[in-house]
Amino acid sequence: MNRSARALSLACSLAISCTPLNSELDGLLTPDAQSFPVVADALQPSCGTLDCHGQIGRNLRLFGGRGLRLDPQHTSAEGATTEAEYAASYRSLTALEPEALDALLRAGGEVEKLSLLRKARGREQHRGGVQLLPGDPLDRCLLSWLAGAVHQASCLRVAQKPRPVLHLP
Amino acid sequence: MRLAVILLLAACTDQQWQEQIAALGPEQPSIPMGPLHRSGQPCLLCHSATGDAPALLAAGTVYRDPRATLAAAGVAVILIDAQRQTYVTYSNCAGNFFVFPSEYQPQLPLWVSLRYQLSGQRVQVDMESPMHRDGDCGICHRPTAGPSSAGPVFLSDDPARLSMIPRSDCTGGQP
Repeated sequence: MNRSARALSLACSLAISCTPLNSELDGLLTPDAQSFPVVADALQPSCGTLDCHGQIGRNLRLFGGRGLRLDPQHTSAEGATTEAEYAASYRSLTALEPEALDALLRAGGEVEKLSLLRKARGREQHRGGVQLLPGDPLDRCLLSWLAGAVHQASCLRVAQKPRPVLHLP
Repeated sequence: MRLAVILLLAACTDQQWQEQIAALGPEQPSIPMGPLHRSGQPCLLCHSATGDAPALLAAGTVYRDPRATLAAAGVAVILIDAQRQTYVTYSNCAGNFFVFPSEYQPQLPLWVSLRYQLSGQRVQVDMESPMHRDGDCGICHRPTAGPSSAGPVFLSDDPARLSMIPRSDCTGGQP
């Protein structure tokens, strides 16, 4: 990568990480983008698989190295999640209900005002069923991110969740 | 009004579903409809409660290599659900495997592992992520890897290892 491309990349990264989405357009607050990758990695195994929100037709579309790829040259069979994919998932998540998210970030209150939480907790019809329960690691990961201080350990615990052990001969 | 909207939505869904099935193309004349047909395709499009074919809970195709050139027969396909309930089925000579709803009632998500014998040693291949919606392997595992496909389900990409895996003599269902 040459110097100008690197500078542009850095400028884009800073713009994403420091400026709340849409802040200059309509003043809506969004959670921190810089700390989002660890949250995205936590969401990937539960929500972002190819059969769920790793599908192009979903309203909430999540991208990832083992899920839906942003670059048509990449495949779901290999590679790590790219910065562009984290940014795309961030936009997808924060643009789902921007006003409700803004209200929650400004005034606090009941997190289940967000469809994201209602559906993932199974409070609202969700084809993917219950993906998190209040207080479990994925729930803590998401809520801590919304509160402005990601609980890294919870996020990592979900992202690195081991598959069930087979007890077959 | 509400009924009209519901009927319209149902019609749209049905049309989309019909288009997906049509996109699979016709049956291969040399392969009769049955357990050996349509290898590598998303089985549950037709084999569902709303489809024309007998409903299946999970189904897919196992190949020997990542290019999906040859089917892998006799591979144990192990399903394990959220309650740690396991079910084992085996791929047939076309590489196809399937589980009927009467045989297994898992609680999603569903994890999958493959097991096969290689020179007397047991080899296990684990799927990296679980299935959350249903057991239709071909939806995500299309014949080639792409931005929304993990590529075919295969045993190994190691030529030395592949040379030791017996070839299936079954021609039914080859892509």
